[in-house]
Amino acid sequence: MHALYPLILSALLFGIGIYGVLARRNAILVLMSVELMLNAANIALVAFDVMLKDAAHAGQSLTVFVITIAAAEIGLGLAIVLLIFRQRATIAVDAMHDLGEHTPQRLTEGTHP
Amino acid sequence: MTGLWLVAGPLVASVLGLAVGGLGRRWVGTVAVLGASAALLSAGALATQQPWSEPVVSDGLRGNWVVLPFASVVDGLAITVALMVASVALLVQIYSTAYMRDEPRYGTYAAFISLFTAAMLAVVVAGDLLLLVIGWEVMGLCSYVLIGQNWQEPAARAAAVKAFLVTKAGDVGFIIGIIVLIATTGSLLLTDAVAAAAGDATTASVVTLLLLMGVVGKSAQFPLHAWLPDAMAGPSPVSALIHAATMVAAGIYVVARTYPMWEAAPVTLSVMAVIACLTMVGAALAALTQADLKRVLAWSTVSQLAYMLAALAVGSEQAAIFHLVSHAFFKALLFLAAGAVIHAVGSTVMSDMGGLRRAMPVTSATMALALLSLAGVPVLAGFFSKESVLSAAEHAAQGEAVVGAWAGWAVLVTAYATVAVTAAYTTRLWLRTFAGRYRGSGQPHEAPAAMRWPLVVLAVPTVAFGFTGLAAQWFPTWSVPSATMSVLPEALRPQPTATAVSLVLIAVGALLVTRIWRARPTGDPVRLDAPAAAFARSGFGWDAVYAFVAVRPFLASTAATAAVDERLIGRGVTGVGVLANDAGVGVQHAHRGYLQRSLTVSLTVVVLGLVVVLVAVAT
Repeated sequence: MHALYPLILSALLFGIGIYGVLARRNAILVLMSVELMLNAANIALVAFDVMLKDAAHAGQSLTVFVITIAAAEIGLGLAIVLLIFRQRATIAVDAMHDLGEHTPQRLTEGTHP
Repeated sequence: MTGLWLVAGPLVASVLGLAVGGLGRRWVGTVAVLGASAALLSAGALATQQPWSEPVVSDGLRGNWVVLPFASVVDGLAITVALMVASVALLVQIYSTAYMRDEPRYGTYAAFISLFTAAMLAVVVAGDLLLLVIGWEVMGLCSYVLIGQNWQEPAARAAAVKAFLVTKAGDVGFIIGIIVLIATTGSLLLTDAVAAAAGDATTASVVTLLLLMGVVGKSAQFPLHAWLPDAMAGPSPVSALIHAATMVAAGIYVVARTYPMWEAAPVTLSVMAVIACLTMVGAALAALTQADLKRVLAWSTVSQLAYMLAALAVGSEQAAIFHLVSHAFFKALLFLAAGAVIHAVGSTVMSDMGGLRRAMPVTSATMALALLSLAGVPVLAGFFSKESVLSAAEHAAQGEAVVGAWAGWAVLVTAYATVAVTAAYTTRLWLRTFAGRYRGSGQPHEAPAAMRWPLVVLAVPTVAFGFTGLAAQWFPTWSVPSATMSVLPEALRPQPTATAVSLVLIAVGALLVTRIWRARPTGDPVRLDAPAAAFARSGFGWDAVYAFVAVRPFLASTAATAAVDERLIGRGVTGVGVLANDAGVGVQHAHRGYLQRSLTVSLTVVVLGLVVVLVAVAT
């Protein structure tokens, strides 16, 4: 099998993931999109491992690491989402900007900060 | 004994005066009088211990605990002038204890009078050019402080600033002149530097022209004369000191002290003659039209100083110093007497006076002597010294001086004209102040003893000093300023023709004023409201020239500087702040907390950056 196919699949999955992270409002869907991007990376890693015929199989071992980290990350992420939902009754990502600068002020001549 | 001891007494008195100023005026007055007495005693000691005829140059003080690396020169000239300065200063200090009785700032006043005396004595005995400049500049400072003694009055503040700025304008030239003198001759010693400069006509001309600027400023000559009449805002004893012993005398004295250098520069002497002629007659006319008693005396000082400058210009430093000393005595007397009159009347305007002859017998008698001396009536001091200036001008007119004969003629003619005007204004002053009826309010009274006795003491040299010029071994020998005396100087005797001419002119001036006055004894012999008189009273509108040449350009430049500071620099600084602030506000938009927007931006930046890098690598 040509190496292009798994790489195209990987790129597509990564693009879908980016779209989800940047465009979806639901926090759970954002987390799922993150998973899609991680798995796109996994596919690419395995594909290159095969393509390069790596004797140590570094690509496959890295994939195992990524799967482990992804499991931990989704666990933490879902716990955070759960807590936010309990406090605010919403998990819309763009509703959560409490730490941002809300009312930028412009200094003019004569005013002292 | 070095001449610097002369300075020590008043200098210590001024420091102590400032230190014990809080202890009460009795202490302050005692310290000040003791300081001036110390100066007079040390001048007397110098006079008896040192040969007058040749200069004694000392290296300065090098004791165990003090080192003053200033050389001093003591000769007849220095001793004569130092005696005059110290005695006038002592009388002024005694007079001030009574005159300034109710003055809250008497402590600083007395201390600065002492400092003024010390600075003048430093100039007198200076054998070192640096010491000369130091004394010269300290005098400028003291005149500023003392003229501004009544600083609660705007006129006093303005007069103090004017005196300081106008004299400093001249001092710029003076200091450059001293620097050029030191640089070209390579010597700090006054005698060496002057001797070296006198040997080179170019150096002598450049240096003396520069020094002349300072002399003209200090001695209140045209065109830097206008500060002196305004300096009347200071108390009368200060005027007596400035007009007689210190400040204005310094300019003439420095020329006499460095005279060999000036004799090598005919150009400077010609300029000096022109300045002296203009000042002499102009100031006398201005004096004739003043309404204020002290301003008459001030303008007369300007006019009399022009006589001294004229004597220097026509080659007789002896006549200049002779007139300087005799003028110092009678002008100090005039100002102290005027102070007594003002003290009694409570006004400085002559229309509030009149008839004081009966109420103030001592003051009026002494002032009459001083006025006669000022007018040049024989046999008072002013007569002999003025005649010595006239005969010096006569010699110059016959081509016997360094300066051209035209200068001698100009000085001679102007001096004769001034003699007539001087007689007119002294007569007017007497008639308006002491003759006729009292026009003021209240009961005028004779001055207290501490003010009366200095007048009497000053009246003695006012009458008798002139005789010292008659014999060659008296004043002419005492006051030889030249380094070595090869021939015995000539006696300063009046010439018969000159005496006759000036006596006729005095009579004409005095009788004219008296005749006009007799017709209307209550009024002023001079019609003060006439446009010409008003013009002369304002000093011939010379302040307008200062305004045009210096004040307005200066104010314009300050306005321009302020505009540049505000518009260019100020706005620039504010602009940097506003720019930084606006940049911050712009960046704040990236920190609104909208996570997805921030991510989109950073991703876009990363992708675009990668593209740029790839393109750069590919090409």
